[in-house]
Amino acid sequence: MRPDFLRCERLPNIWCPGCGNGIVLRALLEAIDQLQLDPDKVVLVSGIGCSSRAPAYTAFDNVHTLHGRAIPVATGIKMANPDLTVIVVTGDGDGSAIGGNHLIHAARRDVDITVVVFNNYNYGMTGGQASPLTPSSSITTTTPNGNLDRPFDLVKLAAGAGATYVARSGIYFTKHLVDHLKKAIAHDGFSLVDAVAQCPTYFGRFNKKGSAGQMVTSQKDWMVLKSVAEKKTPEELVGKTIIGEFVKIERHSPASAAAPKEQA
Amino acid sequence: MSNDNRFELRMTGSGGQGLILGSIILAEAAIMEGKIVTQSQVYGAEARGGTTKAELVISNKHIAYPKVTDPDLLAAMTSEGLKQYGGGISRKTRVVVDSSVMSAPDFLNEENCRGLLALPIRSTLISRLESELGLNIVLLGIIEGLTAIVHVEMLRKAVAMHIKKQFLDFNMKALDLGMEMVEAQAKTGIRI
Amino acid sequence: MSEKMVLMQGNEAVAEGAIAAGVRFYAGYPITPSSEIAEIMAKRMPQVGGTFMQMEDEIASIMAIVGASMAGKKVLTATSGPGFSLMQEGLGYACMVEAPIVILDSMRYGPSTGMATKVSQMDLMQTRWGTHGDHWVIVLSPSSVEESYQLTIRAVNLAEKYRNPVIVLSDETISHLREPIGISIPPTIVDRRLPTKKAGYLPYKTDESLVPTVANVGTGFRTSFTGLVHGESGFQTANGHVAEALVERLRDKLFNNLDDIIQFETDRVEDADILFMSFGITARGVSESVESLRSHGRKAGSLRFITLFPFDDDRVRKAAGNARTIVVPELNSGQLVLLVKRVFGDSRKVVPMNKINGDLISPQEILNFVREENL
Ligand SMILES: Cc1ncc(C[n+]2csc(CCOP(=O)(O)OP(=O)(O)O)c2C)c(N)n1
Repeated sequence: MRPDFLRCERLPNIWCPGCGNGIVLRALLEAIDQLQLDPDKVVLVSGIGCSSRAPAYTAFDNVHTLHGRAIPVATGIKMANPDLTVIVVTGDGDGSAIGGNHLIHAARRDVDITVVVFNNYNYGMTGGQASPLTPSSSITTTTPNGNLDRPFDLVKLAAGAGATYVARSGIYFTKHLVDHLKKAIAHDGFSLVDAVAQCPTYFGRFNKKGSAGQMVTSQKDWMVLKSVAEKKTPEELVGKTIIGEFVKIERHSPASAAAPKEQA
Repeated sequence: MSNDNRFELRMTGSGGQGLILGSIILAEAAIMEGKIVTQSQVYGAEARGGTTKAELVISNKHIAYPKVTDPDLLAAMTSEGLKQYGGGISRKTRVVVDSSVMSAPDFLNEENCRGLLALPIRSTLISRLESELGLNIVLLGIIEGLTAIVHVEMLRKAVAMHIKKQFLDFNMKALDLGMEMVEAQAKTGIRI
Repeated sequence: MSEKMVLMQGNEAVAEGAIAAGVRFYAGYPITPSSEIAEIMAKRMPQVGGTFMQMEDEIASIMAIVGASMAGKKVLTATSGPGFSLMQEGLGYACMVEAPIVILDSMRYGPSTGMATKVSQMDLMQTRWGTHGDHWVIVLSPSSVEESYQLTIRAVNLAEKYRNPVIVLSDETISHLREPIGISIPPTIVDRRLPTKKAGYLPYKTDESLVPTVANVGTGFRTSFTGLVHGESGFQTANGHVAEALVERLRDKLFNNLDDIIQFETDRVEDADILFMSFGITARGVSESVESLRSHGRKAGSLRFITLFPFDDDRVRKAAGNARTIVVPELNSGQLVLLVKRVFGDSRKVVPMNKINGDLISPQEILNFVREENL
C-alpha cells in the first residue's frame, strides 16, 4: 500500500487496540491504489463515529460531516463535480440508523458514489449501544437483556432500495474485501460494501466473543462465501453470514428524460 | 387612507374560474402602460376548487402596502365568495355580482357601497359563446367597461400573452362580451 | 424607469436572482410557501448548465448544497419553518466548515405545521439561534419582489465573500406577491477567494480579512473538512485555545465588516418623534402609515432592517435618531422588539405591536394603534 495515501502526521489513530477499522481502511486504500485513481480526484466523505474518523487519516480531500449526513454531502459533491471518485465511509449506526433514509434514497437515485459501511454491529464511539445491525439477542449497553429487535440485512436493504452494486465482506478475508471494494468503486452507479469488522472493546466483550484476534479469525467460521453457500441447505446456513457479490446490474438510466428546453 | 391614483380590485369566486389569472392579465396590461401593480391571492388548497380571492392594486406611483384595504371594485362570481371576502367594502366600492348564480345581496345599498351591478355573467357566456370557460375574461371585459383602468388594446395584448393561439379568438370575444354587457346595462338606465 | 419591467412572483424573483448571481446547484424539499422556487429551479437549472436535486428531506437538502459548495458551486436551498428546523444542524455545520451557502426561509405561520398558507414573521430568532453553539449568520430581509431578487444576489455574494451561510428571510406574502421588477442590468458578482500555492497550504489560515481561502475539493489541495473544532490545518483538536480562536474568528470575520454587511432603510428619522422599526412585509404597511401620520402633522419616521443579523446595537442607535417613542410592529409575539429594547433600555419608550392571526398588519391598524395607545 502506498504510504503517501496516509497522513502519517495524524497518526496514531483514535481507535482502540484490536479495532477492525484500520484493516478496512487499509483495504480501501489498497483498492484505490490498485485502481490507479488520481489521488487528487478522490474524495472521502464520512459521518460521525469511530469509523468516520478514517478519512482524516488519508491524504485525499476528506469531508467529516455530521452524524448520518455523509451520503447527502457526497451526493452534492458528486453532482457538482462528476469527475471525482466519491467514497463514503460510514458506521453501521451512522449509515443505517440516523442516515438510513439518505442511504435508501441515494440507492434509489443510483447516484455514482460508493458507500463503505464499517460494520462493527454497534455504536462504538458512544460506548457500545445497539445499532440497527446489532443481531437479535446480542448484549449492548442499551440492550442489557439482549436485543429484542431484528437487525437490517444491509445487503437486502440496499438491493431493495435500488443499489446497482452490493457486496459484503469481512476483514479476515482481506483480499476478498479489497477485490469487492475495487469492484464497488469501479462500478458506475450506487455501490455499497458491507465491511464486517470487530469491536472488541464493546460488542466483543459484552457478547463474549473472545479477543480481538479471535474475533477476526472466527469470521472464517461464521462467514460463508456466496459460491459455497449456494450449495448448502437453509439448515446448514443458520447463523451464518454470507459474503460476496449480491447485486451487480447495469446502471439505471432514465428512458425518457428529455433534454432541457432552451429558454425562450 | 385616501390615495387618489390608487385603484384596488378584489375578485372572488371559486377555484378553476381563472380569477387569479385574470388579475395577472390585468396587472400585465397595467405594467405595459408604465403603471405599478401588486397582485396577490389567497393561496393554498383553497385555490383548487374552494373559494378563491385575487387582488390587484394599480397605481401611478410606488405601492407601499401591497394588499387591498378599500376596494374600488369588488367582483363576486359566487355567493360563497361574496360571503367570505365581501367584507371591507365602503362607499367608494362598486360591486359586481354574477346574477346567474346568485341573487343580488340585500345587504348592499346606497349607504354602504357606491353601486351594485348584477349581471348574468355565466348564463350570458353560455348562451352567447356556448362555453363555460372564459368567465374570467368576460369579467375582465366588464371591469374594463366599468373603469377603463387600462387601454383596451393593452388588455388585448396582455390576454394574448397568456392564452394559447388557438383559443385567442374565443377569448377576445369573451372580452368584448364583457364590455358589451356593461354598455347594454348602461343604456337601460339602471343605476350602476 | 428605462428598464423593461416584468411581472414576477416573489419566489420567482429569488430563483432568478440566484441564477443571476451564479447559483448552479439547487437541492431542496417541497414545502409551502417556498415550493415554486424548487419548481422553477427544476426547470431553470438544466437550462443554465446547473443541477437541480429533489432530496428526501431538508436535512439532505442542506447537506447536499454544502457538498456542492465544497466542490466549488454557488448553491441555494429554499424552505419554510418546518424544513428550516430540520436544516439547523446543517446550518451549524456550514458555519463551522465555512461553506458558502444560501438558504431561503419563507416564513409561514408556526409553531409546528401551523398554517401553511398564512404569513408570519415567527422565524426571526430561529435564523439567529436555531442551531446549537455560538455561531454567526448573515440574515437579509426583503420587503418586495424586487428586493427578493436583489437580496438573493447579495446573499450569494456575501456567502462567497465571507465563506458563511447567508439566510434570506422572506415570508408567505412576499413569496406569492406579484410585482413588476426590472432585471436587465447584470449584477455585480463576487467569487470566493481560493488558494494559489500548494506548498504550505493551510486551509483555515487567514490574512487580516479573517476569511480563509479553503480550496474546493478535487482541485489537488487535499483539504480536510470537519465540524469538529479545528485549527488552521483543518484537523480536529480539543485544544481550548484553538477552539477560542476559531469561534472568535467566525464572529470577527463578520463583525469587522459590519459597514459592508449591514443595511437599513430609513425614512424621515431625523425629526421623528415616533419611529417605527420593522422588517420584511410589515415595513410596507408602516411606510404607508408614516405617510399618513405626516400628512396629519405627526412627525413619524421609519427604520427598516434590510440586514437583520449581524445586529449591531451602536449602528441601530445611530440610525434611530431621537424619537421618544419607538413602535415595533411584527407578525409574531415579540422578537425584534427584544433586540430593540436591548439597544435602548429605558432611554426611549419601546412599544411592541404584535399580530399573530396569519394576516398582515395594515396601515389602518397601525394608525389605530398609535391613537389607542396614545403614542
Ligand atoms: C445528531 C447526533 N446524535 C448522536 C450523536 C452521538 N454519536 C456519535 S457517533 C454515534 C454512533 C456511531 O456508531 P456507528 O455509526 O456504528 O460508528 P462506530 O463508532 O461504531 O464506528 C453517535 C450516536 C451525534 N454525534 N450526533
